[in-house]
Amino acid sequence: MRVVVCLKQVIDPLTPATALVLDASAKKIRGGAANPPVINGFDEQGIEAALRLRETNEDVEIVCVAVGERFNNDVMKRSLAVGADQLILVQDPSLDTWNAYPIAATLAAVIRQIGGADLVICGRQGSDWDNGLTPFILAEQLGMPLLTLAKRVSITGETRIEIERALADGSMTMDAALPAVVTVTSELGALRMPSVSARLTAARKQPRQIALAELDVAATPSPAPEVVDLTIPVTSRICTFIEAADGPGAGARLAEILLQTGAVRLGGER
Amino acid sequence: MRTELALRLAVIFVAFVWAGFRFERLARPLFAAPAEARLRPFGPRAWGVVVNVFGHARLLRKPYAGLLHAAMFFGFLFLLTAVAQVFGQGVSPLFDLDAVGGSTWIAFGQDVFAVLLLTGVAMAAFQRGVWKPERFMGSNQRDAAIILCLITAVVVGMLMQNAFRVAGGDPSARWRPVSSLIAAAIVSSGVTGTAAAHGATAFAWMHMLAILAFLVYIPGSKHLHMLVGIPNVYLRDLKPAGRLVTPDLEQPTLGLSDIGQLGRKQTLDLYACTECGRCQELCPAFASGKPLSPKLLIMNLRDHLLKTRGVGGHRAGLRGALIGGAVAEETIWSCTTCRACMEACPLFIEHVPKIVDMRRHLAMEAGRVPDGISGAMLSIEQRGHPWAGTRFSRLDWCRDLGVRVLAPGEATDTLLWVGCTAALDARAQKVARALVRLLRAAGADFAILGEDEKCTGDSARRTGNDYLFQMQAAANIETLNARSFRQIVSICPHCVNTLKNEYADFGGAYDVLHHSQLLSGLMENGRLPGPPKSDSAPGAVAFHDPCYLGRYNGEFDAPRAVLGGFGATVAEMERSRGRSFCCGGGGGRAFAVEPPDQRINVIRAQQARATGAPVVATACPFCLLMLDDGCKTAARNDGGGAPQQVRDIAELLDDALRGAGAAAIS
Ligand code: SF4
Ligand code: SF4
Repeated sequence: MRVVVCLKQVIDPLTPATALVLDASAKKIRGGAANPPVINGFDEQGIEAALRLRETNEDVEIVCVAVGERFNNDVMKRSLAVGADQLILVQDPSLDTWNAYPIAATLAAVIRQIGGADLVICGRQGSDWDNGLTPFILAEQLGMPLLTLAKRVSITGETRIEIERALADGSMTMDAALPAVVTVTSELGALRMPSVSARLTAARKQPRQIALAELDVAATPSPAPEVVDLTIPVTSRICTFIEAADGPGAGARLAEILLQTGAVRLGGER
Repeated sequence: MRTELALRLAVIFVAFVWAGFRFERLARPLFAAPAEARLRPFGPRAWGVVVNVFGHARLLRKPYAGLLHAAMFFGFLFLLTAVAQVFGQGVSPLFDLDAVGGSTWIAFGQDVFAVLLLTGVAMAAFQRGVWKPERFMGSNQRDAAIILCLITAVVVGMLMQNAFRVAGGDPSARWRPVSSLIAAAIVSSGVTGTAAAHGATAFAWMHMLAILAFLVYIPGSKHLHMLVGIPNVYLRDLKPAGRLVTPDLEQPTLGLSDIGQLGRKQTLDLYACTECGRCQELCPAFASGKPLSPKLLIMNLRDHLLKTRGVGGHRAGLRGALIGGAVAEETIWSCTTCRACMEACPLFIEHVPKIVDMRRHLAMEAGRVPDGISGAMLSIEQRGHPWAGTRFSRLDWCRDLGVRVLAPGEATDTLLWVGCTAALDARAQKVARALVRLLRAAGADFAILGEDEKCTGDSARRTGNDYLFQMQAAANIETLNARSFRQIVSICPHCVNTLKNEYADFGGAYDVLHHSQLLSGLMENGRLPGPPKSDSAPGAVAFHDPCYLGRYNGEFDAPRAVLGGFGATVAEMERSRGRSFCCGGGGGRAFAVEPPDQRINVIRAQQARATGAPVVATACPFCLLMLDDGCKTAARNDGGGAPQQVRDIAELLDDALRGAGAAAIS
């Protein structure tokens, strides 16, 4: 059984705002040299879901596929260190886009080219743009059913998939015939730590690179929406020391300032 | 006569064979263990034995226990002459030690040391039975009682044997004041001549049997330390305290998961433990109610070793897991690597390396690391620092200060190694800023590495992730070696320790100072001006010794010199200097989730509070954050008084030099 996990390389969501660089003309945000990218956190959970499936099912082959631009191999190879059998990268400048269509189409093309998949696992959304569209388009393109927001994934009778969905106030179990696309959510749990021997073995493996031109990618429907503007909010701090004779005085003065600046409003005011 | 001799020989034979089997059971795993290269250098090793075994240096830190041990130790040493006599004469009636003074000064010494020994036994019995200090909690009390009884039997046997001899007219009488006294009582009860000779024989049997029982008993007892204590002290670790052994990451198994992987000296440690509990008494993890006692750890490892390796003749092999069986994972993760245990242990037993070795298995093979710690380690791997979620990048703390960033190929006198915490934590940044002002005031030529500085990997190494540590070391050494500088100065004792003691294994040898050492030097040679005359004296400051500055790197005086240098009075806590109580942040614990009722920092803060000093000073960013937090809780627990202020020595000095008014804005 082949499980394909779709990965996205994203700007580390914990990059401090002061380190983010806005490329206004290209309408892109970069993390800066000192802040290497990471594998999208939800996608890491997708790898974890696949690893768990392998623990309970025989002959599970895990193939990780990522499409994008300028991959950091050390970062992406974490998937191999934790136990993926193969890592496939498709790199092309056109794939550095927030538009989910070409991404999903390329992923679908890779999956078709490697001979299909029994199960495709995606993170629920990318932590960079939070569009959450790729799995939907991908399922559409592959003609597979889509099961979303799984916190548990299991294979029943080798031909069906069952997931437990995370809901705000309960859980929901869904079932579908394989092949299928599943998105996973953070309730599934964090990706395990690789052992050092697995890391060392992974360090010697190389990802398989497939050129975009080699793939039979479906055309992107047009017109696509466009990014018009991108800004990073500018934060500043103004520090004022409140001078007052005593605690109550200082409190009253604070309340005055907060009212004057509009930081608080009295009850009923809108 | 004949039959008695035969019986005696038979008894001795049986006892020796029996003891031999019991010793063999201990020796087998010991000799099967891989030997560490610890035999040389002879001089310092032997000197350590003189100071610590014969001189009782560590034992006498507890005067009562030290003295009773000295009485028993020297008594035992001298009474070896009596052992020689009783066995010699037991085997051949012609044997005596008269040629070397057997019936003169040796006889005298035996009487005197017998009394000394019995005094020691009485003191020990009082300590165990009446006083019962808490450090014995969990020790094998029955074993201790049996040992005391056996020693008493040996000594009483010897004294009575000699007393009956004296009563029978032995020539050594006038050299045996104590035996003579007892003899007088015997004679006055009418026992003389052959009756006395029979008495002497009977007590000689008692003497001998007690010694043999002791011999047979020892291998299963804490009293084994009388045999392995000296080798264990001799083989103690002479490396810098802060340098852990570097494992080869390519070897098939990493870390300690099977007791058979323990090195020979590490195994000897298990036999050497006397269960005295001096380690447990000082252990902050134990004090906070966590499931770790360094004493019980060693005892459990020993029991596990004997259970899985020793019994059943040749059926050596693993029975029951080491981790999760003999030692719980929670126990392994509870340690702050503060080293209080190792510093206290009279036998130089090495707790921390064993704990780290088990962590290595958990971190590098099993992949089982507690949440907070694993998150921090992943962050080091991904971002080069453990503070995932900080809103700062490495240069934010000094944007307005214009500190020079040293580029590759450039040179400076002092490289300021800021450390992740001082660079990325809002509170700790103030320390870095204070230090920069001080360095400027002293006219020092210094620079930082900026974005090129990465976590040294101290917490990775101490949480068992040596892979990550070695990656950090390689990256940092490459960065450092591409630049020139005379010395490195760091605010963080963990960075200091790693840069100074551990990078040497990877090709990085540097002159490394802690900022307390730099500042005290600058004050001493007048490069930092004295504090301006002010009306308010700096007052009392409680100083908390950071483990990695004090116990690990021997620096207790420099931070106190800084404090004293601007006129502060150091209020010493009960646990200070070598006995300092960890803030709870070492060994990766700063990132761990502390159960609210087991917080080490709160205990330490309470100790600081007890000094009454309004300010707690420290010299480590981890200590700063841990104590800052602890002091607030301690104040709340204490009925809501004002919490003590927690400051780094650099901040206090900076305040003093700039005048108190400037202190608020830093
Ligand atoms: S190093 Fe410190 S915390 Fe760890 S066992 Fe020893 S005394 Fe306890
Ligand atoms: S390890 Fe050392 S200090 Fe601790 S109980 Fe054993 S002998 Fe005593």
